[in-house]
Amino acid sequence: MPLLRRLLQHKIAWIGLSLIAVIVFTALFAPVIAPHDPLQVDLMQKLQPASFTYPLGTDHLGRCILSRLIYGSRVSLSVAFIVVSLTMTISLVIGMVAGYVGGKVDTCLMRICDVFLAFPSLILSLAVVGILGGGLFNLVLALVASHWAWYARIVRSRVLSVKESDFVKAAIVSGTRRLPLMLRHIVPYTLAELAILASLDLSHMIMHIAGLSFLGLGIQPPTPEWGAMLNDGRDFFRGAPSIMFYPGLMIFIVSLSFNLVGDALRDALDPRTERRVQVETLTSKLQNG
Amino acid sequence: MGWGGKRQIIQALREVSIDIQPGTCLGIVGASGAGKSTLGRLVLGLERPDAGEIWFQGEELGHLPLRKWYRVRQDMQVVFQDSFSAVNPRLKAQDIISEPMRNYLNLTDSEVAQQVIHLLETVGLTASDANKYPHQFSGGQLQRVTIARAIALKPKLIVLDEPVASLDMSIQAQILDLLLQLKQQFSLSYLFITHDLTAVAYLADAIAVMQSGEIVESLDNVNLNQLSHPYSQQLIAAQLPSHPRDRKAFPSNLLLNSFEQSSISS
Amino acid sequence: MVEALLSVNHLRTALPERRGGRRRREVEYHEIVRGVSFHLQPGKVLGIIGESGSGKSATCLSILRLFRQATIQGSVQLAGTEITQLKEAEMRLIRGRQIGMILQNPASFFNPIASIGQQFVDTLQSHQSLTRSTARSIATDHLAAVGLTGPQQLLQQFPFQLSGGMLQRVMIAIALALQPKVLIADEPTTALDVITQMQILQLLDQLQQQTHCAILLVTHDLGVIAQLADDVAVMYNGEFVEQSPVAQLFDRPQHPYTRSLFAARLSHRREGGR
Repeated sequence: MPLLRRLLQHKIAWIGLSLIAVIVFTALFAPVIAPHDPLQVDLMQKLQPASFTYPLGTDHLGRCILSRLIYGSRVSLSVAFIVVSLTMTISLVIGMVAGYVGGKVDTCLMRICDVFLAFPSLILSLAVVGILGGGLFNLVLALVASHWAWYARIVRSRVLSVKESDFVKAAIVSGTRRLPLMLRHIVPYTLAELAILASLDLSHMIMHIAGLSFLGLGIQPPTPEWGAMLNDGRDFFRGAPSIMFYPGLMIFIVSLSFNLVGDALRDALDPRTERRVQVETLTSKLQNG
Repeated sequence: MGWGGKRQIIQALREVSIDIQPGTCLGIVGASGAGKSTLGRLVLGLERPDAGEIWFQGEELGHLPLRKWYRVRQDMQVVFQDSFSAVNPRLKAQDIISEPMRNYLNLTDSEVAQQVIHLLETVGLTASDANKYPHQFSGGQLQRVTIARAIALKPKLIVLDEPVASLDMSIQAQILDLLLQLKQQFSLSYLFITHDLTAVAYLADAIAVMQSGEIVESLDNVNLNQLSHPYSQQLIAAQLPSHPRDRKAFPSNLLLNSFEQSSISS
Repeated sequence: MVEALLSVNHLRTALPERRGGRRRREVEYHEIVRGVSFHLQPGKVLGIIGESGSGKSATCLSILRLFRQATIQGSVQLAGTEITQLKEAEMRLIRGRQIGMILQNPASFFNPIASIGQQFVDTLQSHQSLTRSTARSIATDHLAAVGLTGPQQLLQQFPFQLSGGMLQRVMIAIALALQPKVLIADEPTTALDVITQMQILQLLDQLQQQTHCAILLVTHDLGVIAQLADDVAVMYNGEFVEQSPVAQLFDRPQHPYTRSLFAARLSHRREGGR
């Protein structure tokens, strides 16, 4: 597939993709890879430094940090993926309808969007979780509610701009009806941008999940999750910094990887970035001259 | 003979009335912003007239509801000025050309593919071009692709909106030749919108000169020396010479300030 | 004989092309300008005619050293000074002021996040000490001169708000306002309508009358050459295949490619009984 080939030509993509591949692999094969049961408490072994049995040491309840990290990846990644997929679907539909149909429908949908956008995403998700309680379902609901509006706006503006382009007009003149027009010409344009945003947002999503869990509102203990682990490690930062350090490092690595892939995706999806002669912005040359 | 003349009055800017006889090409000439493209868009149904009528094949289009346009579009197609923005850059040439066919005709995939190859050859391209993306074509070649798309359904009328203005001079002649040949081959009618009088004389059978949204002069032939309106004269004077000895003296009414008052010293 | 303002000798420009997508990056150089030489006299117009892809724009970019990825060989002398080896900071002083340029793609010329007025005024002020108001009035005068209506409002607008044709005219206005010694005009009239086309050519002519500058006019249109050029070079595949005074070229084109260009003109192709 030409898209994949172009993606793989990107050096940066390799780094990001390999890191993600490693993490996904460990998440999938967690039971095999993890040395211990992440939930197993052993108070005799609490706050141990790195050793052969516990490669990254233990936390305040004697649980293996490495195992918790590995299992934690399962939680973070799966929740992030679910949320992003749901958000993308909802925003794609709403943004397309608003942008293409226009008129009263557009106004109505955008006002609803405005309501959701008025709240900072963390506050909104806090509110949802606060009212409905913790747990996975509510977490997903909270995250989708706080993100869909932003995407929908972007999709809509993309649709509006594509609607005016000559090739859409040409398609209309060719007799293409509304729905096929949207699917064949407009969606691919918006989908590409959406995919890039989503991959960049995955990293943000993971941090958001970690943030909520850090506050005790997301994933409930004892389920291992990086943000929750950060929270657990707060009290022990002086003596045993590894409890906070490793989960923090994981969040950083995963966020970075998705960012890199997002960049590479953007380049790969544009059929025209292959070999372009770069003419500098002459103005800057003249201006500085 | 099956379809009436077209009469059209626009009040977007002024009043405009034109007629296109079947099988002929009407050239609309004028400078940019004269409203020529608006005229084209009205005819194609991309915009609605505020007043007046557009008659095409016995049907009035100005007030036609959207769903009825579907039927009309089979007989009316367009070629835009910039071929690169007139095609979806993510689609291959064969998808671009076959779109009208897939909308109206019930053909199998192989029949469509065959037709696409046939169309490519008709416009002077080759079968191997079917799998190329727009950025792999030159401007002239891509314009041929859009022409292939336009003739795919053997329409009655094609609106040509500055089809050669963005192309090299040597390619312009080739594309106009192609359009001429296709017109004769398929008995097409053209609404040819352009600012180039030489091109109009080459392709059109009748001329209408447009200034600021108004038709100031029209001929049912293309003898440019018969044009007498001052604006037409201006257009003729602005045509580039064909030999240095015919260099035009720059008419004083064309140009404006001199630089002496406001220039930075050298 | 008057000393040439711009002397180009054996200019060669090559672009690296990467082979294949594999690990091993073999770089092959693809020459797009192959040994071009010409001299621009003050007060004269040299027209370069050729089709897209002939290397004419590349020649212009190479002279101005705006071709970041390319390797350039040969000599380019501006009033006796060799400019191919100058540092970038020194080149910036030359571009615009000594060698003005009108580019083919106006959108790439402008900074999208600065207003037209800002860019125009900054450009003027960077080459000459002027008060802001003087610079603004020069800007408005030149915008009006290129046929743009409402120049005051235009200064407030941003590039994306203007059409391609308007941006092209703004670019020409800036180039003219700087009154360079040498003006390189790359397809200044393409896609503009006939009346605007004549206006622009008239402006170039007028500039030359007043400042005695040299103009390098690059185009694909023989009509533009006929109207304005004193000497012509025909470019094909990176080289000049013919170079002669304009009347001579039109009367007795020698090279087969030149002849084919003449044969491709519309006025020569109209068949009889139409």
